[in-house]
Parts: sequence; structure tokens; C-alpha cells
Amino acid sequence: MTQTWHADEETLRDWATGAAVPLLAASVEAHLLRCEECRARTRTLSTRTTASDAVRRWDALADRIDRPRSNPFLRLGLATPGLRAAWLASLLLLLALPVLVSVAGLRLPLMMALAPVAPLAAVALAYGREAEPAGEIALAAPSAGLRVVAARAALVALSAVPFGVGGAMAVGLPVQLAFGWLLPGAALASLVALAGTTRLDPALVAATLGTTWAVAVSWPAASRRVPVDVVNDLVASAPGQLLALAVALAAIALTTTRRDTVAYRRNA
Amino acid sequence: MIPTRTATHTTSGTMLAADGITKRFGSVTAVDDVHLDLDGGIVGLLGPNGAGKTTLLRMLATVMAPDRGTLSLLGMDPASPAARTEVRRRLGYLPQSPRLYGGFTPLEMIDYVAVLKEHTDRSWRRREATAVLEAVGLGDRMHQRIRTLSGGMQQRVALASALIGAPDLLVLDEPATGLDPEQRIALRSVLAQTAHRGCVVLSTHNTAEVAALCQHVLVMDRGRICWSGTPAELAAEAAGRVWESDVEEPTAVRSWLTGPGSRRHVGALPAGATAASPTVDDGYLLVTRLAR
Repeated sequence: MTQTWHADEETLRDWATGAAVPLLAASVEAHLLRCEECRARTRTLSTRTTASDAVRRWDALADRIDRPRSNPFLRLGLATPGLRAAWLASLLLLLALPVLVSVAGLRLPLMMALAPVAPLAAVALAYGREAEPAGEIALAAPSAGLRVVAARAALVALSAVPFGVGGAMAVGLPVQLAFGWLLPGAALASLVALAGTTRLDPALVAATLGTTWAVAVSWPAASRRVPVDVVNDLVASAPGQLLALAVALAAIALTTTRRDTVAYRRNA
Repeated sequence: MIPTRTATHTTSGTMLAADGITKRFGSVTAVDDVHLDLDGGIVGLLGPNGAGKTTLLRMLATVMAPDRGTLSLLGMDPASPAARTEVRRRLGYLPQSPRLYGGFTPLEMIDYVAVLKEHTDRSWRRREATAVLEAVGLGDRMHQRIRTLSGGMQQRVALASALIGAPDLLVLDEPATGLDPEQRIALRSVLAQTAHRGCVVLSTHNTAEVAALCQHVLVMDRGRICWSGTPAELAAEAAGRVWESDVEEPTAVRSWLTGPGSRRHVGALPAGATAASPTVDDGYLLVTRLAR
């Protein structure tokens, strides 16, 4: 909603000098937190006055507005609206999927087809140049490259996985379905991370891998030639899970070996 | 003919060294067999557009790797991942076109860069971010969204992010862009502090800036270092080869208008002409032309 009301100068001065009654002061402060224009006017007032109380109040407010996230992990992972949107989208997808599967009555292996795509998309986004608020400056920082990519991907994965598993358990999906997507998801995400060590665009690799996986898993059941349970059982079976684990470990090992190329040689 | 000075500038130590570094983009050689050996101070990199200055600086900032040759930054080889990380902990970098996220305030941006530089103490970050923003003259703008700041102010935010953490090596691509004269003077004192304990390498088109600020000058042309020395030595290259007159001089290497009816010329002094006092500008124009 557009901000149309602004505090008058007397009100702002009363707030800055501590003359405002507590109720008014709280109201002005709440408004200042939302209104850049009134903050700018208050700044001017604060610089015109020598009252230490006004300076203290202004500093306290500025500190609240610009308060850095205390956790550097969150600061890296959720710095921009784009990163926050991706994180939220992953959470919502993994929360909604079990409900959808439950409502759809397992007519399609939706959980197995779509849940592994969430971590994969998170890794792809972590590589994006647009995801980096500091632009090229970030490339010369000690955490540039795989570390920042891994931090962003891990943040999404660590927060989204409990939603996916918890949601599936809550709606009463079988245990193999609630947990069976985790290793395929890790395998796909690791492959995207590995693509980031090449000249391939991780976003394109993620889109291709994600689509291929979703179609491969849902097509047999969609064509009604194969029961849904067979597809789910196959992915969740010990050989299927072991294969996914092997792919994930191999991709992670290769990515770590080639971490030099994530930022340093990739820009060359 | 001016004798071309050695392309390797050698001082007493190895704060920054390059041995034959080369960088190609397809068929274009942006940096060609560059040798450097620099020990601290402020080093100015001069050269025409397309000379390879930005590519050289990006390699010195560990943003890209050379195709050939070796680098030593702060005594470490950035080709090794562990050494590169250590170099980056002590490095500040200002790219030519910094793209900063406009939704941050300057304070948030510097805080974010400090996180990238592994500073985990929140109060340290807040204190240092405030200090560097005040150093670049943005103390009164630190709570304003970056997208609402002018281009020059955004450039200063990027400069402040290079200064956070008191780096030993500063690599700055045209740091004075967008600064007014007063801010340029303030920048000099900030850079002098870094130069006191480490090394500052900056590119610029402003020869007056180089004369006032730098202890060493490197002149680049077509990917190579074609001249290296002090600003006084660069000006001295044009000694006895600069004169002024009110007419065009076809024999001059370079000739340009300096005012209504007044021209300055660099080249072999014609008979009867009186030599003018040479500047860094004259020396630069002469060595870049003669390098071709």
C-alpha cells in the first residue's frame, strides 16, 4: 500500500527531543520505521539539534532499520528478495506437495517427481549472478565461489527438508514416500553444483535435469501402464536409493575437486 | 627516439609480482606477457581504453586467472585455492563497473561485504562499516537505499566496500570516477593510509591524479607494460620535447588545443621553438604514441 500520511515537523521534533507522550512517541516510531521520507526529515531535525537525547533516539531507530542479520549464514543466504523468494518457494512447494499428493489420491507419483526438484532449483539459484548483491566485488572475497554457493544451497535444503518430510508424515503418507525423495533430490542438486564447475549454465542444467526427472518418474504412471506404487517403490527401493546416494557422493567429490573453477577460472 | 624503459619495475620487495602473465579472450590478447615486481606504495596504471588495464587488475584482484605466467600477491600464489583465500582476506577490490543491489542501504551493503570477507562479529561490522562510509563522505547517507543515490555516491559505496577490514592490498579500477575535487583529496588520504602498510594499485585516465598520488606509474598499451617508473620520470621523458605555439605543428608527435589560439605540442623540438616545462600528461602522451 502506498504511504500517503506523513508526520508534521512539530510531531517529529517532539519525538526526537523526547517531548512526545509515550503513546504518540510509539506511534511516530512505528511510522518512521516504514516511512523513508519522514526518516529523512527527522535526520535533518536531528542534525540541527544538539540534544543528546535526540541523537540517541535517532541512532537507536537507525540501528533498528539497518540492523544487520546477526547470523552471517542467513546474511549470505537471504540477502536479497530474490534469494528470500526462492527459499520461500522451496518451503511452500515441499509443504504443499504432500497435501496435493494426499488430495490426488496418489494417482500420480507427484511427491517423487517434484520434491527432488526443490533443492535442485535452490542450488541453481545460488549460482546466479543476479543473486549476488555485491556483484563482482564478491568474486574477490574469501568466501567467493563454492563456499557461498554451498551456504545458500544448504540454507534452503536444511530449512526445506523438515517441511517436506514433516508435511508428508502429517498427512499420513507412507514413510518410504516421506523420505524416499531426499536422496534423489540430493543427487540432482549435486549434479547442478557440478555443472557450476563447467561453462554450462547451472540454471539451464537445473531446468533440463528437473524436467527430465519429473517426466521420467511420472510418465509411466500417467500413461496408466504402470501402477503408481511401482514407480514410488522403485525410487524408494534400496538399489534406487543407493544409486542416488552414489551419484550424489560422486558429484559432490568432483565438485569439491573442481571448486577452483566455480568462480576463479569460470570468469576467465 | 625516446628509449623505452624496462617493462619490469623492480623495487626492494615482493608485495606484488607477475612473471609473464598473459590473458586471451578468443583471438584477442588482452594482457600480453606482463612482468611486475612491486613493493608497496601507490601504483598508478595508465593507458588508453582497451589497453588491458581492467583485465590486469581483475587478475591482480584474483577475480580471474591468467592463461599463462605466474602471480605472487602479498607473497602468495593465488593459483593455489588456500593461498587465494588468504590473499582475499587481505584484499580490497573496486571493479570498473560495480553492480550493487539497489535495495540495500550503504550500511547494509558494507555489512554484507564484511560477511563475505568472513567478519562474523556484528558490532565490529557495524563499527567498521560506519567508519569506511564516513571515510568516503557518505556518513550522512548510510541509511538511504542505494538505488536512490547518485552514480558518484554509488561508486563511493563500492569504494567503501573495498576499504572494509583495512586491506593490505587494494586493487581499484578508476576509483576517482564520480568524485568531486574535495572527495578526491579525501580519497588520497585514505589510500595513503593503505599504502603506508601495503600496496594500492589503481587505474585511472587522470594523469594529474597520478602525479599527485602515485609513487610508481605503469603505462599499458595493447596489453603490454610499455613504460614503468615514477611520475617525475614519466614527466622527464618529455623534457626538451614540449613547446607551445599558436599554430598547428605537423611535425609534432601529439598536438592539442590548450585555450583560444593556443596549442601545446610534444615531439622533436622545432628550430626556434622554446621548450615548455614537461608534465606527466606530456610524458604519457609521448610514451604511448612512441610505443606504437
